[in-house]
Amino acid sequence: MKLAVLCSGGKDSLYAAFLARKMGHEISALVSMQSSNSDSYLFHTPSIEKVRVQADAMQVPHVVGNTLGVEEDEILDLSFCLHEAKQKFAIQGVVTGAVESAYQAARFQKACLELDLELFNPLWQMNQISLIESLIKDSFKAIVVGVAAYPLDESWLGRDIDRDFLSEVITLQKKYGINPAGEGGEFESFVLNCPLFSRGLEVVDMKKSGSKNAWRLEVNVI
Amino acid sequence: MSQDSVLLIDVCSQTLHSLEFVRPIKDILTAKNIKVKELAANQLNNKILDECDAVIICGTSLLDDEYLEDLDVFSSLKECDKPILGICAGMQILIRLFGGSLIDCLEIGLTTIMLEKPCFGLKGEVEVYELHQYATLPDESVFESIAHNSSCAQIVFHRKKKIVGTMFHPEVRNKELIVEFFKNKT
Repeated sequence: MKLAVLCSGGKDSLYAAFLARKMGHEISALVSMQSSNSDSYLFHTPSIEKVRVQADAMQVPHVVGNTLGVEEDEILDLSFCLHEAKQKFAIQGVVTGAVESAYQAARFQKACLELDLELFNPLWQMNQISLIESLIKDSFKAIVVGVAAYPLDESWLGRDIDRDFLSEVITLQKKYGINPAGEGGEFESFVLNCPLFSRGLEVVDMKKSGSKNAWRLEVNVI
Repeated sequence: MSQDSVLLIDVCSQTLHSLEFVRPIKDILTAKNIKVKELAANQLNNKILDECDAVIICGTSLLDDEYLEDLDVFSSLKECDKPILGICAGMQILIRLFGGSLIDCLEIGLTTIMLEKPCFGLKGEVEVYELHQYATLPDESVFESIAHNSSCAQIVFHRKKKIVGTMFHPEVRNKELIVEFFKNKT
């Protein structure tokens, strides 16, 4: 089946894409929503403009939609963008990295149903620790590009999501209730390399902004 | 003595969907050290049913209704005396096997259902996750509806057999129902 991946550039959407390809589907495009609301209800925003470089590394086209990030209008903006992907690339379905959010999943389901597109959420309800372990086992290299929960701070930006990271977030889960995969928005990630890429991405510049326990990292990659 | 086990029947026409509709149920059971065997619907037979202690028929995606095209593959379930839980598509299959029918009824996302009787740890008003394009019209001489929302019957009990159907997906917001179903299998 020809599929588009709703891609934030983070570990979940690209790991979902990896599973789709592993099961014989064709990844025909990456679709990203550029939200002007950094607290978007539906879409992760850090580093999303760098998804184009990921798409290049995957040798697939990148479709970018824009949204003001207004609740409920966001899904109309997504539908418009998916319609464009369907017209241009004859996609039959969409893959997302939705794990836990019923709010997010339900809206993606509605958008795809209206466009007669299959929706695949291969990470749905996946155990958070198992998810990170699977990423590591399958040679994903991802870094932290945003934090938004105590006690995560500036020092976490740019960290590799590896075994040391996992053991530390498991400790924080026990102590502070931090979700080990960041599913509650505790942190956001960006994938620098994975088996879908023909080459790894190189970080050439990075800029931190934020304060206390809310930070984001803009990375320039080639 | 061999460990009790659950047979998970996978009705998804795409393997990628099994990760979304079968794997979460397997994870809930295996986290409780319950043995699980997964099976594609077209491999179902009496011998496999004899070897398990309970059966769960999992759901599938909104656009996937291939499971309705050949209900004969599920016919061995009619004579099965093991406890059976049908989830969404699974409930639709059970209702059709026992003389009921389906109607168009789209529900996506969280809704609140009202239980008239307790069911595997759920009682009263409960928030559930829905994902279906069809609802069921059970043969009322065969099934009792014990929970509803404003759209349709949400939980049905077979009046004579240990068969339960849920229109919603308990693996999302009501995981305890799946574990309690297994614990109460005898």
